[in-house]
Amino acid sequence: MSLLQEAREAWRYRELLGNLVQRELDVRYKNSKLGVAWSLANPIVRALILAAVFTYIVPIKTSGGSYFPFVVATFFPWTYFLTGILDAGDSVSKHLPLVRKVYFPRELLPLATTIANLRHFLLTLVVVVLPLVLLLYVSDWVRNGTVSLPPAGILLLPLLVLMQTLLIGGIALFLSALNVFFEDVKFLTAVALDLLFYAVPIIYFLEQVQHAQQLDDTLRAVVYHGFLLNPIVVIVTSYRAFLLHPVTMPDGALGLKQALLVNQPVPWPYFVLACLVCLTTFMGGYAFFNSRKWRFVEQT
Amino acid sequence: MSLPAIQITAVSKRFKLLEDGYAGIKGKLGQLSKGIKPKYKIVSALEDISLTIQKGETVALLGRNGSGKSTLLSLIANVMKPDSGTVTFPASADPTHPRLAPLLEVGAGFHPDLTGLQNITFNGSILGLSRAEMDERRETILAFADFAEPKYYGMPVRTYSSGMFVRLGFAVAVHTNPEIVLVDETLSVGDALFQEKCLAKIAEFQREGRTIVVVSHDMEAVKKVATRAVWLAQARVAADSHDVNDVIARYLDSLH
Repeated sequence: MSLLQEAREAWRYRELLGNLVQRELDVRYKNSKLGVAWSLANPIVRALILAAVFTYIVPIKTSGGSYFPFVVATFFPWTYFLTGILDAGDSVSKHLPLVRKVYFPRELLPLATTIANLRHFLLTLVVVVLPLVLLLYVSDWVRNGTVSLPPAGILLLPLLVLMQTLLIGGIALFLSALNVFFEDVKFLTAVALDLLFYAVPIIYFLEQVQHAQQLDDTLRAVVYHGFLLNPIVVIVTSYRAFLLHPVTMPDGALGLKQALLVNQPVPWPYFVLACLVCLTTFMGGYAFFNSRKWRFVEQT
Repeated sequence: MSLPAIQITAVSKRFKLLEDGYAGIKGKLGQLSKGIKPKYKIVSALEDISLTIQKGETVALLGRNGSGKSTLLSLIANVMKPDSGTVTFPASADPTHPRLAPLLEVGAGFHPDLTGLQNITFNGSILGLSRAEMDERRETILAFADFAEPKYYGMPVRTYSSGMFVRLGFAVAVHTNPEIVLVDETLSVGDALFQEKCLAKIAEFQREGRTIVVVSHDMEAVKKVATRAVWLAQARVAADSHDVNDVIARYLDSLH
């Protein structure tokens, strides 16, 4: 069957997909008194910790005020990526008893996990990230008397969420199928993601890579463009650049030898490329999943 | 003659089993480092099986362990694809996806931490019930499961006794308006009263003209319900007859 036919078959089961998503969310907060409130408490507590650390312990100042909003704007998209991929690893393996007995399009399992995490992320975005950013602009207005609007890029936020979801979904399809045959996959992914955290500009800026003085010119260019080829770098950096204006980091801050204009949007050809990579990853992951899905039950 | 409910045409299924060593990445690396090729054993579960099952028949599959009964049931349930040959359902509105109720290890999809109610809603949906149909049948399902105290439905399934667990799973599966019912040893679970209820439900299915395929080692139960018996031996059909008692007798003879 072609990818399109498979997708149409999965679409017929959309009500089941909805129920799988609901179940995933039910299970996550099953035994807690606070229930769904936890899904809010978690990001709020994380944001508070980030605020405390970057206000009192590492009090970095930018030309636009505190450094903390710049971390928040990348940290939560990264968390979506992290949990989306970690949760998807065993999304098929843990349902094997069911898969062995009943027919339904198997891709619904990793897709439901992805959508459950998407819902979680959207909630975080609406309840934590956007209000914080809004607060920032309002406090700016109160202090300076002039209203500054967020970058026009903020209108592209839905596209960014879509890109990221396709990327996560594609990787989820790939990993969940692989994990049925090699259970080590889930553990390897956890290690890989741990390393990736440092290779993505979350607690630093992409411009620092571009101007890293410790590297010679050729190496610096290679590393910088290597970063830009990583769709996660493009996505995470774009969240920040779409929500907050560029600022100047003074010299001394973050180990800089001279002042640097940071938080600029990534060059648009790389943004377009990242869009294509996300789409290709999803279709590739789906094709891989389909090529393996009938062998899940034969695994002993 | 009307269209058959299940049409199995020249179906073969083989499994590749790893003979030694570990599965997984560690095994693969180990084999690479020692320079040995993994040894696989090809096991044939079904060889060129053809069966036509008419609407309203109750077919019992007999055979020793490993004779291919469960594989055949999995192929009918559409959780496995044959290596060659086809399984179709000509009498169904959708000849590739009939409304199936697999009563195989009922409750397979239950999540221990969710409540009975949450679980039956989910299980119903996986067996093809729409939300509206579920709302309509919830009361009937709960009544069929026959819990002593209704408050149990709001408790996590892990607090249930195994009997309650099975009863609830069975109750959902039989209320999905199936065209084809697949039964795998479920007849032998639950207490006597519940077994009676299951047999009564199967009899009701038979009266309504639904097609039933049963795998069981309980010959007395088979004699009671089956209208046709198929004996599988070494991946092939050894006997197939409406004279159920005769097939059972020949099968039991072969064991000695």
